[in-house]
Amino acid sequence: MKKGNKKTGSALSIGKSVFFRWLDGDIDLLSGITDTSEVPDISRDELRKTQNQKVRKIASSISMRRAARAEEKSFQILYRIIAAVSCMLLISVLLYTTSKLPEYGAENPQTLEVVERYVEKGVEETGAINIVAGMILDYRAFDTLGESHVLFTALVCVMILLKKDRKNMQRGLDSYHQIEKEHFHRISTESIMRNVGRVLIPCIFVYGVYVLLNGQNGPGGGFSGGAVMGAGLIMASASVGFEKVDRYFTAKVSAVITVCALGFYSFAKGYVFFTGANHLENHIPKGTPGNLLSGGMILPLDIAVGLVVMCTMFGFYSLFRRGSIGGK
Amino acid sequence: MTAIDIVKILLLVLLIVCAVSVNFTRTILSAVIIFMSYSSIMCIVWILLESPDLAITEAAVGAGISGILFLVTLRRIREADADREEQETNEERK
Amino acid sequence: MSIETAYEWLYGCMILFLVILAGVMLFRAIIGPRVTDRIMSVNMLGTLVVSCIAVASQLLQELWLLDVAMIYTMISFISVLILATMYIPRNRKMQMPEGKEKQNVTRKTNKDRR
Repeated sequence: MKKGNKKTGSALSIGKSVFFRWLDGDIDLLSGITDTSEVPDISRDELRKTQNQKVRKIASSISMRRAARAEEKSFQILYRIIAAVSCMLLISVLLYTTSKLPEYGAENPQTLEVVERYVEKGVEETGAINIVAGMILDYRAFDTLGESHVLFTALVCVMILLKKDRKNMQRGLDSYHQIEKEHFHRISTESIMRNVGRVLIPCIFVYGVYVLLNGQNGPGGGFSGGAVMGAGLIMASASVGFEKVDRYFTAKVSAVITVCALGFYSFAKGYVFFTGANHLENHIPKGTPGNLLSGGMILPLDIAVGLVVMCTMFGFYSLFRRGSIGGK
Repeated sequence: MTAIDIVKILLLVLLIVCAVSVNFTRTILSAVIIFMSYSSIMCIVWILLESPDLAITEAAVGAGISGILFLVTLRRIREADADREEQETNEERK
Repeated sequence: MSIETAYEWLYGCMILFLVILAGVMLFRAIIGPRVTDRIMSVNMLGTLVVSCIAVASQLLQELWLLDVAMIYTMISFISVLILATMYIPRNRKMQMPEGKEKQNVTRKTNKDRR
């Protein structure tokens, strides 16, 4: 049996229940147990007749595997039933909720009063010329908080799936990472990319900061500025090599930036969940619309969102490419 | 019928051509490249509809970051495939 | 016709011409049998889009469109750079992503260039 060579423990865990092996990630129950196809099936009469101990061991594992296969079949049937029932339940709840909404185009407070209030009093209440930025960061700041959390969760999920660790390395991705290291070494010595990068990367960063800080006076804002800065970091790591970027952008730096930015945003606007539309007063003055320091809390929140987006974008690229954010 | 109306109709037709041909190309790499050009044409459409935030975000994310992530993933899939084939040939030789 | 409508017609026809050229580049991106055809078409499409945006900013008399043009220039450069660095064959082990029939043909041309 060749399965004993694997150190993942699946050969030893044949006695464990199929459900727990699915939780551990060893097998995929919906597509069948994967490691039962190596040893052939023999009938029970032949099993009784054999004297050889090795064959008896194999045969006992076959009977355990038969039990596992029966368990797998019952699990699949149960899974499908539960899936169908929960889907029908969810569909009925959603349809019932939708039937209570007003008709398309009917007159309701959302289309009459709210939109007028945003458009007419947007500039004087929020202090931002860009009404869209004023809406997403002042009137509806709680929704943007949820979006930033979604970005952070996406980064954490990609880290769970793709980060290099001992289990991954044993399964044969080692050669991939070796080849990537050699490739990086070669790419970073090509002179065209190094020289163009030397000129272009500062321009991209300055431009990203400009788009970020002018979120309330013109188009742009947190998401666009953060995306441009993330693209600048990607360009830096692609043109001058990963080692030089690793000097100042390690995993710890990325974690500190995202956690601090997201924490600041949560403390600043988390209370809205309880108070609703009755804001506490902003202690940051609104200023005259059109200046750089105007709009109350919009500028700090913009910076927080931009930093989260930048770390997320570069984190995705780095994790896809070599399995870790900051080198080791 | 000013020239801008013809431009809008032509851009929408190009969008449909892009979207259909993503499905019918032979290799995945060309599908990713057509996806990136779809995003570029969408950027012009947003500008003609006078929404600046969307145009900037589409330019930065669609043509830039999303396309780059697709390319990196594609390369990683192909190298994992080549790796697995190598391992299988080594095992067969043994 | 007055001078404003003449300018509008001028800019409108310029954008129309650039969009027709973009359509031609798209045709090359769809059909082009080699990887390098597609890389070139993506690069040119980005340049055409940037010029469309610049002319549109003059047509609509809005200054923020030039910001969009600058962003687009930089981002399309980054994406073409990464596209080009990843799909050059490094050694015999790694295969071209084009499909296995044309493998030998493209490998020969790239080796000759070096």
